[in-house]
Amino acid sequence: MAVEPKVVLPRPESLSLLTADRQAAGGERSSSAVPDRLLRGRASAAYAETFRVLALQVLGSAQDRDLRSLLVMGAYPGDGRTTTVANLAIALAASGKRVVAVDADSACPTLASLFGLAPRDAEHGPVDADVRGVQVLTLAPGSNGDGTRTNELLGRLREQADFVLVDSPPCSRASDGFGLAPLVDAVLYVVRRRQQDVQLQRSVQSQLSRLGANVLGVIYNER
Amino acid sequence: MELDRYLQAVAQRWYVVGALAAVGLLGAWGYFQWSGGGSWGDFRWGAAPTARTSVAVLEPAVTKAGSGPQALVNFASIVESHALADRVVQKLGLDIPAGQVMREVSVKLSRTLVPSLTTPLYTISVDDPDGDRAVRIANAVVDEARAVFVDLNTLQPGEVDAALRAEESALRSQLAQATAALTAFEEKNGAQRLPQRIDAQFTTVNALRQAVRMGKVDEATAAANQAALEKREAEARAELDRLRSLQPVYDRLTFEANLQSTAALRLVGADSSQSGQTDPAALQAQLADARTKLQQARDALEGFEQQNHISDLPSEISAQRNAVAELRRLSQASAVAPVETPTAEQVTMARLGVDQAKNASYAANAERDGLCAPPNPKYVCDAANARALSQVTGIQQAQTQLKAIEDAGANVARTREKALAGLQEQLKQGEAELDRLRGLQPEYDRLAFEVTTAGGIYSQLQARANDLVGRGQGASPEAQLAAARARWEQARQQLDTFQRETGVADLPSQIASQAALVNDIHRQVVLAKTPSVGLDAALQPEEAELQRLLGLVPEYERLNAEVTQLSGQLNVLEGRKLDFIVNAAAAPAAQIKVLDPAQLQSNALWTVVTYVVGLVVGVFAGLVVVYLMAYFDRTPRSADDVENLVNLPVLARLPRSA
Repeated sequence: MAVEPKVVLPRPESLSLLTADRQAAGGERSSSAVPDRLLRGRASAAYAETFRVLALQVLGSAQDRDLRSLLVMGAYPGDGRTTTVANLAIALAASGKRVVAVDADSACPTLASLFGLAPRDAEHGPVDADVRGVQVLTLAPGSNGDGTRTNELLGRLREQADFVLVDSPPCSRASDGFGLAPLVDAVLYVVRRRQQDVQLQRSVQSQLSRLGANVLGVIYNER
Repeated sequence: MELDRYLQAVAQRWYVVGALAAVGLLGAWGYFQWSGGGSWGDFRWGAAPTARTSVAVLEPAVTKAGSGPQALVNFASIVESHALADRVVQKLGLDIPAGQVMREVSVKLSRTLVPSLTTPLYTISVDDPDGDRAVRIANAVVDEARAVFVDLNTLQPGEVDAALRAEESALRSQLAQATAALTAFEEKNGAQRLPQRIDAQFTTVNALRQAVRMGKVDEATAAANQAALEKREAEARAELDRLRSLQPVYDRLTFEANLQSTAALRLVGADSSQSGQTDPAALQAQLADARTKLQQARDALEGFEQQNHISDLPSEISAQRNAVAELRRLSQASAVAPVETPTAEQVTMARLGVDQAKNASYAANAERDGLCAPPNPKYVCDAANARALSQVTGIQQAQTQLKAIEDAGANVARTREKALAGLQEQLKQGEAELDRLRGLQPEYDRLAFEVTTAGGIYSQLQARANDLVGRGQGASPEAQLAAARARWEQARQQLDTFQRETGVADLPSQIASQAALVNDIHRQVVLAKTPSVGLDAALQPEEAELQRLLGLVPEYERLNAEVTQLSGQLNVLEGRKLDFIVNAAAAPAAQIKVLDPAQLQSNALWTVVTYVVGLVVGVFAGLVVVYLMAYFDRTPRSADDVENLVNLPVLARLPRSA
């Protein structure tokens, strides 16, 4: 049975409308709604510096290998994937790049809220965040099932922005990340300092290797 | 697991170690609450004070030997008993339950330089929250335990004696019944001493069978001797019956004499140990005196032995008695034995031997003549000559043997008379020597007894010199020993009188000897009868008698086993009776001596040690728990851990503090 995708590809005029509507609605995206851990908040210097360095690494890799889309994966909920996507987007935007942050965790979409947006606001197309150069898109539930559509979506987003950062659901809960991994240029894997299932982690890496995913490396979250 | 990683784990989980250390301290505190008599209401931080006293206890030998229901009671078990706690509570009017007193009181066997099984040293401890009360309880425990212990360990001679007598009476009654049944069986079947009868019957039947095979019976001699043999057999049987009738009295008197002798000898050891001095100087004086007495007794015995040319009188008497019995049996048997003359077959065989020797000699001579001719060498001739000479020697030996056989018939009567006279002379001398030795026995026994008692006293005193633990003073041990000696001498005199009046010395061996004689004569009577009734006719009834006797064996063995079993039980009982005689006379009453009065001891050090131990145990347990937690922890704690986990390079590390 064919599933009709609920994701609607964004159009420039609609983006401006959505942005205009949000601004007219009363400033839900106030800077005070952005959590402190984001770079532009009251994040510690070391924390911000970490993402700046990571952004530089990504920019360096992009020059070498035409790297435009990145998927951030992790094994467990709370590993820090969404935070990584948000902060990396901000760090890249600070370098003058246009970034679209895509929340593919349809079961628990929180990326938009990190930028002070309601999740449903970003379901119809990329919405400007209150950070210059950053747009946010939330994929509707079930939209990850059609790889072709998703690939087309990522292609369009790559045309619109310099970088497309995709947040994925935890591998131990959903397999969406494995479906997205072959569609992006590279994968960043997040491991948090917590009790680990060694077998599960090795199984994830093995699966990514079989899918031909280009895993750049690990982001170790000590929090 | 590496040390640094373990230390990191300890630093991260310090609260686990701390919690278990606190549990250890709490356990130490709980121990003090519990060990203070189980009274949780009395809060205290440390151990209760302890009142401690030491007592030396003389545990009488009778409690070890087991002569009554108090056999397993010792002082420690009394101190730790609930009954004693009850008595202490009542005596002191305490407001704590007896169970608590019982838990507060403990007793242990103290180590001493010279461990003694009969005078152990105990330490009694009382742990009570109230120090004064602990001292009072300790003193009361000693007093009450003394009363209970002495009461339990005081031998009741009357009760024990009555019990032993009743048991002995019942056993003797059973033994008498069993013996009567055995005797009735023997008399009914004519089978006294059945095994010996069967042996004798076997001998008789075998002799007859051999005679039947050889056809060798001197009819004339047998007919002449038959009447004398039958008369002699009747006399021997009468003597045997007389001896058997004496046996019960003899057994009783012998047993009594042995019992009293053993009792007196055992009293020697008890006597010296009981009257032991605690003063080393006095003990040394006693030891020197005992050594002198022992030497005097030995000198007296040796002088007596040299004077009378004896060494070990009992053995010599026994050997002489056996020799006399054998001589008597040989003499009596020879007097009635039939004359045995050489048979014609023996003479013929001897003559044939002479002829064979001569033929061999002739052949050797012929061979020598042939070999000594030239050109044979000289040594061949010499060897043949030697063989010829040896054959001549063979002829001489065969002729001598023939002459001896031919002369035997003529000389046998003369030889027999000569041998009989010699036997009777030897018997006379042997009996005289036996009488002389028996005459020496009373004095010898007295001197040997003196040596044994002096030796016993000396060795006991030597042992005492190494063990000066006080035992209290016994009551006139010399008098006890003198009384025992008097009883022994009286029993011995009764036995001597009996032996003189009845003419018996060693009745069992005399009976055995007499029975052998009777059987011997009976066999000769049977052989003497054979010419008149025929060998086969004589053999048949004897074989029938043998079969009849063999048929009696199962029932005889059953009855005899019963008698033997009861006799064994009686012997065991006699042993217990002997123990009782010795213990009742020699065992001192139970005594308890307080060496160290009850004193209060602080347990501050013990309190500190207990808390430290609780703390150490708790910390150790915490470290173990942390180790286990770290061992099973799979949390990556460094970038290296992460790289090892996923086999990917770490691009960034997000710090803990944002």
